[in-house]
Amino acid sequence: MSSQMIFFLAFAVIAIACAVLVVKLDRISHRIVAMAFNFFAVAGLYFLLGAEFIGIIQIIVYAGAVTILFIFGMMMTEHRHITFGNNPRRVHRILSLLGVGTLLGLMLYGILNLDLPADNEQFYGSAEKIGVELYGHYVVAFIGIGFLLTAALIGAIVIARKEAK
Amino acid sequence: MDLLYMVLFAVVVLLGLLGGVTYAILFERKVIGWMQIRNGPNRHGPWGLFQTIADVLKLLMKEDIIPAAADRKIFVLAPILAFAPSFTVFAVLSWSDTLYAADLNIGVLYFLGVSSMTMLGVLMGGWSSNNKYSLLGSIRGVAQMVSYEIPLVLSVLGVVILSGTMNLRGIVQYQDDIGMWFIIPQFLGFVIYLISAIAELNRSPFDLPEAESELVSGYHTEYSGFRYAFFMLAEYTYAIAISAFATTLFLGGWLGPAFLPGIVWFILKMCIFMFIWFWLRATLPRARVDHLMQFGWKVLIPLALLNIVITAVIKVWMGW
Repeated sequence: MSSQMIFFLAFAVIAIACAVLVVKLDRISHRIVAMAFNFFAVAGLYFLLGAEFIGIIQIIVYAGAVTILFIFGMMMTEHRHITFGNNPRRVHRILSLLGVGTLLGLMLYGILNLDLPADNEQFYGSAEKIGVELYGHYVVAFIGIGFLLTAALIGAIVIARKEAK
Repeated sequence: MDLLYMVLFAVVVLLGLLGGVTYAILFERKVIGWMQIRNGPNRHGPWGLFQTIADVLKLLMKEDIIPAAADRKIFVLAPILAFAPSFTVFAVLSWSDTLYAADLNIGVLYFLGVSSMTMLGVLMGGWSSNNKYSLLGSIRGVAQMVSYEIPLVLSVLGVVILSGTMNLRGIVQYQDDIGMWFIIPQFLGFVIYLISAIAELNRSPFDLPEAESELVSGYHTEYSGFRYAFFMLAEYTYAIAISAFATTLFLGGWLGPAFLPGIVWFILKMCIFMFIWFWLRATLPRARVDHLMQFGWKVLIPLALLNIVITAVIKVWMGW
């Protein structure tokens, strides 16, 4: 077993285990920590594949920004007395198990039948290539998204200010 | 074999860092002592050399207290989450021409992205302590870190534009090629970096998250013993990392006259950069929290954007 395989298995196990913990843990603060570790493990998988840029973006955006956002959300909302209601009935459980099982089967079928061409190009997904694509081919869409996000940001500030009065 | 070499290098860097942090603290206390016309620590060992070691031993031997109302698991995890990223960033720093761990093509992004993770440890530590001072300190700390991360990243962009690479070794080699350190063409960027690095590290005069006159000691109020030592270690490791990053980007890394090896030049420049912080700490009073935020958003960020525009224009017109 190569060292790459060992690292892949470690990251995969951490990612899946933390994803399960996010659903299973009781306290929301513990869930957020599990989520952060899940994001890290996925970033590790990207690094393992040689997509360093995407891996680091995963860390900056998800493990950094999204996790901090969740923590602030947790601090500022009342979450201790809110639950998902009573335990679901047996019929619900069986139905959801069937649904999830079917989805898993379909996905496994799709993944196993996928025939990916071996791409030996070295710096695939490097910062330079993504930059050239983003500011060359997709520049209009990119600027459009920029305007949209700015508008959303200003809108959020306006709404928050009104509530404070 | 490769794996063994990597692990060995990491262990050596960690040991070096522990020594470095020990003497950085002594250096800080001595410098501040002299500036206030005192002697600084001078009882333990010649010239006070064993003072920090004694302090650390005291912290390690203290009773390990976890408050009853604290969120135990997160309380235990927080110091580790604060320290791990500040050590991880040393993977991309290159100490000399031949002495480096990872030659990563996105070194700058890696450093900035991973180092921002320290925030998570600060926030978890403050929140899980179940103490109002801790919570206020950590909220302040995170607000400050998020705000000052933006000018920090923007000030570094000028260097990336000029050198055309995000590889830290590539940036130093570019400075070697043009025969000039980036502090000269990027002086504005350097000043912005210096200021926002202080705020990012929560050091005086921007040490609002730990302002002892209003918040006891901020997010680590409830921590004692070796967990407190871990937070201090994280803080100083991050300080060393940030000054090493500044040395690489603005001060030419390991470059220097050949009579000293590269790593000595690197460490010397790092020490000068850290000395400026200690100097400021002994000189300036603490800023107020709203002044700090206004300064960040209304002065530093526009200046950093201006710096990027000027740099881009120079790069395209002058054909650098």
